[in-house]
Amino acid sequence: MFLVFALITLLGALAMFRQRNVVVAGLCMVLTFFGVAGLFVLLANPVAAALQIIVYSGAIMVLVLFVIMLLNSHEEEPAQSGRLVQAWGGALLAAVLGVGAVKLVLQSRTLHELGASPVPAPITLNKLGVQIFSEHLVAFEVVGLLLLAAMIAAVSIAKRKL
Amino acid sequence: MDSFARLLHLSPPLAWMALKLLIVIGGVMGIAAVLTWVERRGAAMMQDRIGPNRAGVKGITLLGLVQLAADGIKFFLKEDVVPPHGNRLLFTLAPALAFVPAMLGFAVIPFGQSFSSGGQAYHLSLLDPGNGMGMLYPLAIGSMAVYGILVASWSSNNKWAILGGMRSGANMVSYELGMSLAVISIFMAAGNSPVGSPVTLEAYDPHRIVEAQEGLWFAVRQPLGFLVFFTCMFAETNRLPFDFAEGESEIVAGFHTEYSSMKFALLQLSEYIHIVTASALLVTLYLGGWRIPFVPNPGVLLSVAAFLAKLLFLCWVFVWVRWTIPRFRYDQLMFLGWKVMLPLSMANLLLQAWLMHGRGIA
Amino acid sequence: MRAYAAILLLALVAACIPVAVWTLAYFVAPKFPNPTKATNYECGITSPGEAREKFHVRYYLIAVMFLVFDVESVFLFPFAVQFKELALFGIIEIGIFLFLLLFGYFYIWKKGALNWE
Repeated sequence: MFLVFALITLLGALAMFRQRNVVVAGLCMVLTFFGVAGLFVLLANPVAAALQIIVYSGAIMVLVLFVIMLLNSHEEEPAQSGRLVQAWGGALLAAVLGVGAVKLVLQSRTLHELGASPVPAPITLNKLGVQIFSEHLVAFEVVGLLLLAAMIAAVSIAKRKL
Repeated sequence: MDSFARLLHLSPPLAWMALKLLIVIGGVMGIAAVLTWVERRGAAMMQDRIGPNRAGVKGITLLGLVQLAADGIKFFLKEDVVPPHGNRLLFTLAPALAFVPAMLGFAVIPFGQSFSSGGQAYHLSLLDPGNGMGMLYPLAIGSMAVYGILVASWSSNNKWAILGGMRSGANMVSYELGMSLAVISIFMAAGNSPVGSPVTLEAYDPHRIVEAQEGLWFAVRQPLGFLVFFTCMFAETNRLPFDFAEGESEIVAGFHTEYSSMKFALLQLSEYIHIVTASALLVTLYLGGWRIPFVPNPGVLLSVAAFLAKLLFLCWVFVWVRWTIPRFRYDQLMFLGWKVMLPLSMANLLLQAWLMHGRGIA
Repeated sequence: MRAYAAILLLALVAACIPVAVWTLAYFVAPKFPNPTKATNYECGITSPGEAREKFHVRYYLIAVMFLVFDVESVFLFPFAVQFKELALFGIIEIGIFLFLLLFGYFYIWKKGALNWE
């Protein structure tokens, strides 16, 4: 099951990069998000899966699609073939980052604890609520502030065009 | 019921799951199909016409129900025109993108009282309670519905289609907010009611929500939330008075202008499936689910019957409203969504929090 | 997480239905291609210009506002289910959070971002 969802995620992401049509690329990204949601469910965290779909595929991708249609930048453009140095540099950077990420994950303490413990109980909204409202209180209020800033910024950007 | 339960004992849980799957798919598709007939007969009734009553096999017309079969066959036998100026792949994919989320939405709805036999509890919902996703699941799936319409409209590359798609995209998105805020108030109310069931469920589990409505339905306890949610359901299903996706008198047929044959039928069917799912959500959240007033333990058969009766009545309300209320203007729609529904649902949330705090619950 | 197998099965069956319908329609439906049929439907007039036009910036604004309030409601979900346990402290916390958002809401209302004229 893990392999299936991982493949869905990876193939969706790859298809997104290969796709020249921006709208199709956006839909590939939705597919990727679904793959990630499936992985979350496998990790016994259905809440994260649901919220992932609500926020990422339900809101952010709709915003992206709206912007694509708004800007009319959906004509299929020939992909610019970058210089060879750029391509190799990009690949090298990606490889370094990938190795670093994998190393970090493998070294983390929680991973070893996970392997030792039996199947964990699913994370529920209640547990999440306890976490947010006791341990991450300040972060929660900062999020409120951030959302306020996002609202004002969006209005001021759009107003210039209105 | 006993013999039925005994039959279940013989079969592994897989068979029980398959049975539920069959019930959900068959039930939803069946109701949706009949709903297309109800809509036409209902429209005819309200406009003092006769409606479809001619199609029949050897004179047996079943009040025009045979028309359904005739329509189905006709859809298959029609030419499928794919516009060459659009995106062929997305054009073909769009009906499936509309259809699959519509079908998935029903999965968490408890459509009858849970029963146990032989130490094994059987829940009448496809996704058993205690899964941790609960009511977040229909919200997540519901937010996917916008893609079917957006993709269908964009891939047609037709002015009417794109206008309809963009309008209904913005429409659905705006009303989703009021909807989720109304659902949040339900969570709060369900969280502090005593639970009768042996399983301690999360407050956002649909089974718990039905359980919490034992005394009073949430429609009575939260009339404001009910009003908001009810209105938002019409907007989410793109039904009149919010049907900007189609808007026949303005933009021909909206997002499915270029669609024909079976693809059109799929788009149409998914609209009716959305109605069924929306009615089921309304029943579960606000109208007590499978509960019958003054009957604490209705049993399996009666509870399923009660759920069905409520569901069918609400489906009829969707048809009823369509032929009663005219379409909004677009600025009125946005006004209603952002300046009426959003503040109303927020007020409902704060009011509920205040009331519960006043009663010493929090 | 075994319960989710039912969902997966439902999704598979639901995805099979359109595929089956396409295949059947492909074999059954007649095909008479015709250049006139392939033109854009615009009430019989030859279509002037592109269909995919630029859209008004309002749509962008609606989508951003939706995103903001959607994230807000996501934070309200855990609050609502923990309402009883969090008691007064939780109400104050969420009050500050909501106050910030309502402030923004009235700001965009005053700015006319919610108007659709």
